Amino acid sequence: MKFLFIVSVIVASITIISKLVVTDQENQIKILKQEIDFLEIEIESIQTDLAYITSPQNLKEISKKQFNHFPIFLEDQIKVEDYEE
Amino acid sequence: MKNNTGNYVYENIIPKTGNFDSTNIIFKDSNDILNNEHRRKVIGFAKKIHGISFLASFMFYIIIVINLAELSILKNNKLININREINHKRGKILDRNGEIIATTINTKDLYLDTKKSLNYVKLIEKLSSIFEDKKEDYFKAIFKKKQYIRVKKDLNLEEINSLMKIGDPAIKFHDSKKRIYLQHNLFSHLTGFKSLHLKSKLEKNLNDKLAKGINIDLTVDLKIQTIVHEELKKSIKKYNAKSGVAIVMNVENGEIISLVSLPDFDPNFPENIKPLSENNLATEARYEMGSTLKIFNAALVYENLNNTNLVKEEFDISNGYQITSKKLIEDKHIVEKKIDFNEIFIHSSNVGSIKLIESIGIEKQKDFFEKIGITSKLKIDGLKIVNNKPPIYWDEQASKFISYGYGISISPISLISAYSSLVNGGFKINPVIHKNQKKVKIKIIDDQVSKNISLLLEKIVKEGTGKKARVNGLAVGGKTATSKKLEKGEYSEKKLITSFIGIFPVEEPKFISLILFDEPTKNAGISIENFGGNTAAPTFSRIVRKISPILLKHNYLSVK
Repeated sequence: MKFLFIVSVIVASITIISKLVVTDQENQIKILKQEIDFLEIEIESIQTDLAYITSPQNLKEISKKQFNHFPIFLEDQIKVEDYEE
Repeated sequence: MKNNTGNYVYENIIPKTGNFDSTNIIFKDSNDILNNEHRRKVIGFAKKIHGISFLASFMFYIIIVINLAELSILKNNKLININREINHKRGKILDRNGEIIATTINTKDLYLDTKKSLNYVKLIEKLSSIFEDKKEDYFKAIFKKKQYIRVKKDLNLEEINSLMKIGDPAIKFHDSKKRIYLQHNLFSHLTGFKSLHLKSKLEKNLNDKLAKGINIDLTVDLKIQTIVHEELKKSIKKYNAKSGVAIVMNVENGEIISLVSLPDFDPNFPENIKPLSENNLATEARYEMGSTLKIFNAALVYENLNNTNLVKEEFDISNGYQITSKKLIEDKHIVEKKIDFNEIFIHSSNVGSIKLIESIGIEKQKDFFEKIGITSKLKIDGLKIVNNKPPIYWDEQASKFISYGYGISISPISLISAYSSLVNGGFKINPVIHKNQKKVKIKIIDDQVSKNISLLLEKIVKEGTGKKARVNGLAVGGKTATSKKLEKGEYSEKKLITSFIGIFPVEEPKFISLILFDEPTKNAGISIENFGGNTAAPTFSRIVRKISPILLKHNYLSVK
């Protein structure tokens, strides 16, 4: 009897403690999930901005205004390769 | 107490005598036999219950431990999936190198809770100054009705800051999502658009995947698409054409590297789309292609070399060919009276083409068109493809018309697909637009026929009508075409469809490109200046000159 009672109390305590640990872990996971979501949104927003800024149309505009670069044609590439050889 | 038979008997039971008027008689067990028995039963029952509850608690504990273990050790996948399901955004559309074409961003919408306004007159005044497109009367009407209403979708940062500065409790922000197309017009005919209520093209056809948050990787290359779009746009302006199409495709696996159809539209502003600019002319339009179809006659001859001697024959084209009682076909642009097999294609002779098909026969022509997929339905996952339109009666006369590119309407994507089979070693391929699409490759033409066709196309560029398609440092081949447009049952004397279909590098073709212009009118009427060799061929040259370094960089192509 006593043994069963003690075991029951121990099991109940472990159960409650486990529940508390699980709840705590779940909350931490929830917080982490929110942080991950936030970071993912941030990353996506940066990726989107970067993709827009570095889009060929924008780069061409920048080149036209500031650097006046020209595209490389096949014959230019062949000339460079010949020179290197 | 138990008797000999095992039944309980009660001894020494003394009735409690008190008030005999009462109807209740209470018996008292002087040895408390009944209570002891009851207690024993209760204890037995309690033991059983305790055992069961102990087992139940133990099981409960075990379940929690298992769950904990799953959460902490096995975890993640399940959590990530739950996370995705809750927070999933529409999938992105990416180019072959992972560059973003279409994505969804978080935005904020402006709502007004008119009942909560502290000073609505002042608020109206400030709102009108922020949103210049909305008049004061619009806001007055909102406040008159006393309602909770959305005023503007997808606010920009400047607007949000200005609204927050007002500080009126009537101003409410709601989280929202917006589909944006970073490359604006560049891929409009592939991606289509997604607005609040409407979807088109890939956004519509691959909605199942996109809605689940799955990204779509396209086969197109952003840089190459930019160049092709830019050059085609310039050429349309230069040749004063109504519209234009350009496709660049890998002949080995059917991957579409670039697909441009002009006019196009900006999918970020679907409300501004004009009816004609929404059609993808590369896949949703069909044309009588003209001389590009002549190469099929050459392939037919090469396939039947054992039965015919046509490759060595000379053809008299001086008197033309009376195709119907009213129509005489002539090659006015060719000076020579007699031409050989190669010259039929080098100079693009209509009469020569008719004479070739006369010798080969209708049945072989029909079978060949079926084999290379011209008469069957073409399917590209995610894109709408119009069916080609062969003649209703494929008789002798129709066959002759087809031999020089008339009487059969073909979509540009279908033509480029058929041409690929001729130059890629004889494999029938299906064009693909997204990377995960299954690639089909079936051998239909002999290797030697394929090699001969590539060499013939090279000759056309070196010596014939396609001279302006030449590219410094790269061996290219191709065929020009100029066809009259059919208007009200008559072939127009003013309106043309011009095109060039080219392959590179000729030694081992890797890429094929089709350039097509609808009604180029650089010079009024039917002038040679408007022909395929002077419009589409130079455009092809300019495009290949610019895109080949990119193809080289990605090891798509090697120059010998």
